[in-house]
Amino acid sequence: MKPLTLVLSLLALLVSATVLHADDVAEPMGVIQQLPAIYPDHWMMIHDISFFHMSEGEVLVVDPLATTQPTQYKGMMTASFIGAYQRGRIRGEHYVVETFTSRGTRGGERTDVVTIYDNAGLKVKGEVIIPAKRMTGMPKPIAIGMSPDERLLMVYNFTPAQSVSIVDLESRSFIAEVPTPGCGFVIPTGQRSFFSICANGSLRTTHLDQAGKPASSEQTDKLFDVDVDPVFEAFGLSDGVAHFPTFQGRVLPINLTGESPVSGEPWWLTETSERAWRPAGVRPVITDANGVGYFLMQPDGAEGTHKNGGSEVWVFDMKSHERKTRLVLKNWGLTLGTSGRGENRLLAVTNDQMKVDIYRLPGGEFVHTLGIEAATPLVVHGAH
Amino acid sequence: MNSDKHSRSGGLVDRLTESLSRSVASRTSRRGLLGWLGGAVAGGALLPLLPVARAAVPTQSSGSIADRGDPTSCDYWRYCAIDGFLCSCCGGTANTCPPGTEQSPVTWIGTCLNPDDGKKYIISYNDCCGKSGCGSCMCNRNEGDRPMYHPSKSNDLNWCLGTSSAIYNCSTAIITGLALPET
Repeated sequence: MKPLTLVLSLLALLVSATVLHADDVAEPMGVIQQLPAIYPDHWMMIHDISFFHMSEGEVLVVDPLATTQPTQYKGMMTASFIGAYQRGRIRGEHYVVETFTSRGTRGGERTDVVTIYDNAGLKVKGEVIIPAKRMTGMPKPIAIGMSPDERLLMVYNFTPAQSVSIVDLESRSFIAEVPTPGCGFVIPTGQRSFFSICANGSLRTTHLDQAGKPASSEQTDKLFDVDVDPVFEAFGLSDGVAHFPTFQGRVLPINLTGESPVSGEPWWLTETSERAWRPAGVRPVITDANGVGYFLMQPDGAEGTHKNGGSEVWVFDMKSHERKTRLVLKNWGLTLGTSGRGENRLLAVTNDQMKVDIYRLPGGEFVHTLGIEAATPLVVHGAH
Repeated sequence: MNSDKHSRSGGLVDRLTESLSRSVASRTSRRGLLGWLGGAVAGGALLPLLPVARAAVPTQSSGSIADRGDPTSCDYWRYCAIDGFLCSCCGGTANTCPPGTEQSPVTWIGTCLNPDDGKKYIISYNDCCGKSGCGSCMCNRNEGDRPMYHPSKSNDLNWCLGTSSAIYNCSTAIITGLALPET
């Protein structure tokens, strides 16, 4: 072979070898992670209301038993302007009710929507525009409700006129706005009804037809004194009974199994000698998957301390009203959440450093503090 | 129980800012002007008394009352039921809104004790709206606060209502009158 030919051949071989090497190391582009279509039931959706930057609220999907921040953090959804979140188990969806304005934080035209995400991709698969009236404020689980068959989503409005918007999740359409004058929030009862809590201590029930249109309404007598001992805007559900704690430490049980709520006899969380202990926090009550009740308790409750959170979680049998144990928290707690079933039940406590502490239930063994960064993770929902 | 560590309590936002020493909550009942009006006007029935727009509200600078205290501190007596960023830290004052914002015509009210004269005053916590959250001087005190289904006494609601924008910037604390003596 002539020298020039040899050189050129060797050069070609070298170039081809270089190109082959580059192909071996090149990574695919455009790869998007996916989550399982059905989440492990101990996973949590942590709602960061982003109080100091309200338009940037988020709902984080988290594995609370993973040991590092990167393995805990699975993904996120936007929840603009202190949104409201509802888990959709039947369709494997998330529902985030949020508010947008055409000029961002400067304002402009307001649009409220129910944004629908899928479990696996956390992509927006649809949205339903609802009246731009939803209540915005500190997050309360009863600002949004869903019928047991998960067909109807109900959103509380406050302008300050009070009403509830009804959305059909199957057809993804807005159905109706139901006035609830003098009464706030939405707590589903029965199959096609909900009640709202009134400023005079009564309950107003709205009955819907099968399609979600308003059919009739009714009012209970006054059940509690709003000035002296009001119920919190949160309850623990156990065997079809919603247990609402009050500021002073009683519990008002409301049976939700029928189309009209039925109130039961209030009971105390505390003995007479313990009345300085009171429930407190953003969400001071939850029930786990077994129906066991957990109340966030502060040791020195008084007028004006109902949002302070607490140092202990008291565990109750919600049928017998017997206190089973008192869990001393590792850190002062502000709000409660739960996830998991059976032996995998977990308690989430957002602490006073705005970190989320995880405990095993029912024993209360501290697992760890989540490494995720969230400004104000004030609501924790379970994937169970 | 680890009582030493947890014997203190503090507001939710106290812990966000770590800037507030805990105030002593009033233990008096709230059967003052608010309770009387709520019963008389609404008949004790469904509709609560909603605070509405008040024209010609006198400003604090009239000097009509003794009014010591630091309006940039959460401990300031007027802030006994406030929740939000203090407008006095955001370009406004305790009773005026920052430039370019819009004051909400409806809001929640509180009844606060003025330590200088020992009288209780009705405070209207009008929000200033139309700009994103100020972020300074976050305070949350809850004397007389009640759940959000009792709007006139709830500081948890975003009261940027009746304004051209619902975006919340900060909260004022405007004296609207004296509370009636409790019966």
